[in-house]
Amino acid sequence: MALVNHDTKEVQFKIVYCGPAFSGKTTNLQHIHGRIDDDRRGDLLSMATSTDRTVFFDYLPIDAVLIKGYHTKFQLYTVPGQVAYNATRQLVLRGADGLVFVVDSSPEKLEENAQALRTTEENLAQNGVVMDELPFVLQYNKRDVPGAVAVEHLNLLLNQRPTPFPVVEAVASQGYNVFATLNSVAEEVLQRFHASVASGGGPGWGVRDQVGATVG
Amino acid sequence: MTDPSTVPSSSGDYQLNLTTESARRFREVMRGFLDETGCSMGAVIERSGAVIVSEQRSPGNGVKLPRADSVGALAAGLFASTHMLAKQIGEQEPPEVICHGQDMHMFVAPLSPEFALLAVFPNRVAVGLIRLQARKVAAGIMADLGQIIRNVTVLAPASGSPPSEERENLFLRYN
Ligand SMILES: Nc1nc2c(ncn2[C@@H]2O[C@H](COP(=O)(O)OP(=O)(O)OP(=O)(O)O)[C@@H](O)[C@H]2O)c(=O)[nH]1
Ligand SMILES: [Mg+2]
Repeated sequence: MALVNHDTKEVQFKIVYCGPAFSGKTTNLQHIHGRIDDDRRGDLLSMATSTDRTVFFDYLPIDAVLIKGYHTKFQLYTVPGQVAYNATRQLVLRGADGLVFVVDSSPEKLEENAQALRTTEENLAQNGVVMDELPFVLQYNKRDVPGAVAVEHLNLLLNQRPTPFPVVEAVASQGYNVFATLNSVAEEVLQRFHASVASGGGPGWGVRDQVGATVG
Repeated sequence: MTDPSTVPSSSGDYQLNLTTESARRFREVMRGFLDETGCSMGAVIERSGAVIVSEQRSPGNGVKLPRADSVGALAAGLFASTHMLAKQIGEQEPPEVICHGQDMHMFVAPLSPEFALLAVFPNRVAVGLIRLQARKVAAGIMADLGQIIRNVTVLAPASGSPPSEERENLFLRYN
């Protein structure tokens, strides 16, 4: 859900990192947090167990470039990958403008990746969103692990879509291609935003027209 | 008035356009809310975590107020999870969620199916007063809130795609 504030001249987007447990979603945000100047980002907020498994979400607000006089802000979220957290995942996905699906390239995680992608598609569908219509980037992470599954094999398993998703190979724990991934999804989000604005609305700009006060 | 249960939790992709006039009215209403209640921070948040408007006043005593967008994201999460918890025991939406701290406290209550009010307040402020003033906030901004989620096509920040060099450099200078 893009939020455009014509008073403060800000446009705000929400990008969610999803994918199976332990694939490196939080690691992506940690790297971004570590590399962006303090005055361009907020703190990285993590709701996790003592062993760093995300239980609700991680959150990192960052500022991007100024485009046509408007400040662009991205709210980065991760969801918990563990199967048990389906309900919380659903909540965090709400209003996402773009998604990064972080794949674990370890050979033993193949089926888990496929399962998580199916679950993500279901989670989105329950929010009324078609996954193939969303700015969506597949990050093949952990390319450094021994026996990492070949990209062609991962594509065969995960990327047989009407229009295949853009793919970025990464090693998030070393920061490799973490920003390339973020750039890729952010660019798609912006392009789509500008295209929609140019066409004066258009498909995908669902409008909700009923607001009622329930306080009190 | 809309029955919250008839509005889907989300209706896919959408955009909120906040006009200068609405933004100013929101700020006025929020300032009034802080004046009337003595709260240190007041914000209207969209249920997916975006902050529509926020105003802050220093509570003194060296207390540092948080970033509005971070508190907004957390409060939306808190409210959403409390809502789900309530459903597990057969309850509908909780009318409010209050976090009691030592010196500072937090209040989150729905204004509509899509928006919630967030208030941060010190010990001296009574919750009853916040509840009362929350109704005023709802009344003061509801027409505009209805407007901004309908109003998806006004005033474009740009037409066409941004120039490619701008897009390519989106985050690179921090990399
Ligand atoms: N070898 C290797 N390890 C990585 C890489 N990226 C992340 N890790 C490690 O994988 C483990 C899990 O990373 P997290 O970022 O916590 O995973 P997550 O996806 O957030 O997991 P959940 O919160 O449980 O869903 C950590 O020990 C990371 O250091 C990578 O590219 N290569
Ligand atoms: Mg995590």
